[in-house]
Amino acid sequence: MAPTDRIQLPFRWEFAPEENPADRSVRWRWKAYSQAGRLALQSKVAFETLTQCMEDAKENGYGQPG
Amino acid sequence: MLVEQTKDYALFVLDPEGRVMTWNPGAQRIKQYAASEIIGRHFSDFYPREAIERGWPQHELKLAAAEGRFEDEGWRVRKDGSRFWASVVITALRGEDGKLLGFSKITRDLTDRKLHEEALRQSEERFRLLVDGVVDYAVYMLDAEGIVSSWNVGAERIKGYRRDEIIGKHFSRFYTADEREAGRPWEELTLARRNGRAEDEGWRVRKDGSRFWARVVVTALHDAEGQLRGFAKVTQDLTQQRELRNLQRAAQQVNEFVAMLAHELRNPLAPIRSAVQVLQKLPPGDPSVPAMYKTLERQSGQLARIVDDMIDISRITRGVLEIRKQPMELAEALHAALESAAPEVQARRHTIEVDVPRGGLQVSGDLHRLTQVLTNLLNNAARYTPEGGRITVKAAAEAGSAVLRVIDNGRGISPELLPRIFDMFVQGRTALERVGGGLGIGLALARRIAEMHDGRLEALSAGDGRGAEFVLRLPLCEAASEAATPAREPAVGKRHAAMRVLIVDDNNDAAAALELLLRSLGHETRVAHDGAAALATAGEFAPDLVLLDIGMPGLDGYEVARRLRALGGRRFRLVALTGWGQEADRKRSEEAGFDQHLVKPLDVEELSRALAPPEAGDDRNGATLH
Repeated sequence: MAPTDRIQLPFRWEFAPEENPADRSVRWRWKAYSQAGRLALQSKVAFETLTQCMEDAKENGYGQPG
Repeated sequence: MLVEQTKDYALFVLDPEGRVMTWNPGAQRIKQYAASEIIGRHFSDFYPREAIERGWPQHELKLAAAEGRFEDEGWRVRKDGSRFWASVVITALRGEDGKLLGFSKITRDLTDRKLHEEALRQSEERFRLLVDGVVDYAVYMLDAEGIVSSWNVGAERIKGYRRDEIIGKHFSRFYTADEREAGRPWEELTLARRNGRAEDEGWRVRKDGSRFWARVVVTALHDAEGQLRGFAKVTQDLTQQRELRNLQRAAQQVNEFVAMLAHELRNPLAPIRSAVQVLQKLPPGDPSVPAMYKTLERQSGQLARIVDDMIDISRITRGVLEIRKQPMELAEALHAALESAAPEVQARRHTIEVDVPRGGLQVSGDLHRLTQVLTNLLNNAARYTPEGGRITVKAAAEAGSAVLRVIDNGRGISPELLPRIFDMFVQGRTALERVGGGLGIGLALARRIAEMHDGRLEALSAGDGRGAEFVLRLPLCEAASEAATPAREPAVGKRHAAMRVLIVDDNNDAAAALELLLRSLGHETRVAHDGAAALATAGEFAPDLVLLDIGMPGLDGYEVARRLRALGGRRFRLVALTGWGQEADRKRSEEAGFDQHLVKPLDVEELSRALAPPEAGDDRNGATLH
């Protein structure tokens, strides 16, 4: 799901690891939930590191002043 | 007849002069005279010599004659010369015309009672002397209301009051003001009244206002009818023992800390050494080289953090940790902390949830220090949560405070450890059990920093295995004007106009590494390995900036700085590089003519700032050099 609207509300951001069962390697994805618990946004790809994942979330409003 | 058969009392009659006229069996039993032996003799025969010498028998008769009756208790003498304690009643006998006919005298032998009383008195006297002689304990009595009624030498020594100063005063004055306000003295008496005894250990106050650590036992005293008569109180001054206990505990903690420090330093050192060895063997351009550099950067960063924490703790214990407050959004510190803690969270594959408003949590704070606090909390949560755990960060405004919570579902904190979790070097885990690393100083540091922001840091946990929650509360401040918003730091490794940089360091490796870094940033460099070479090179190289190590053999950095400044001439900036970062060291550098004081290990960000051209109003104005 790609971001469609400009972010207006404070989201609850989640950064979660995702294990590849084949080689047990881990990649990271982010999700943004509305305060009502509805999934509003999520990363389009998985990232090798949590830092990269956070950087991508920033592009979508994470950690940005309101 | 009755009189004649009475054996428990001596009953006899004296004539007006005191001569014995009658004698009963009781008199014979008590005084040992037969009637034939004593009748007609003066009754003063029954008195000890000293009583006779002071005319006591005649005095008794005189008073009995005058008042009709006389009572007395005193020593009397038997026929065999032995003494007995007598209770005596003498009654004047008068005729109808009032003329004195003589005296009746009733004497009772109370020797047993007297001896018992005397034994009791002596026992009490011995006990009093014993209690009075005790100097190591304050032993004193209170009445039922808590008024001091006795006071021994030990009490005077421990509490500082003389007997005459304290008798009659209420004992609550021995307690601290807080304890008095909380009603603790009265509680103690109530407890002793109910249970017969109360024990306590805590601070007490001497006459001069100083405090001592006391162990106290209060015992309720009741009379034969069960009525409360008062309390006996024994107080022991345990201040020295407490200090000794604390010292022993501190020594143990320091020992554990040193062991832990060695372990913590070894952790990053091992991969650094491995990476260096691998790099030596790899050909340039090998695809593994960047990974090795990342390892070096990450692990040396860990070493730097350990050293920084130790320096901060040293600053806190000396009361010189500086907090530079500016209006800032708490979320800013949080996001910086989340980035810093990301490697730790990633290594343990935790899910992290961030529920923080995008503004409205403005506090007056030191961004760097608050980031440090939050990084500590996040790293702790990551370390003490088993792999694949969940860490939640929430922030909200609550009753004039910005409240930030870091919640994990990890190992939790036992109830015994919870009150000590912010103590220095406490981790609640033995070396073998420790899973997360760290020196046990992070939380102590974090709480102190929170307090220096007029805030609070608290820990909550339902117990072992039930997760933990750390709550940071900081007072919210009014929205600050744009002008008050702190300037952003320059980006890491930001490039500036090419400069001529002279590096002076007797450590060849350090100098070479720094030179490599500066060249990679596009600057022109020269290296000198001692003070004399530095002075010579400065003359011909004409640097814009001199990075000068302080601790060098021969001419040290301070002396080189003074001589460089003495040369005069073209403007250049002088930056001290040293392992010493105390305020006194910075001041010394300033006095020697340095424009800036950087503490090793130098990070790229600091170096970048040193390379930035001086701005208007910046005190790094530089000097001149030919």
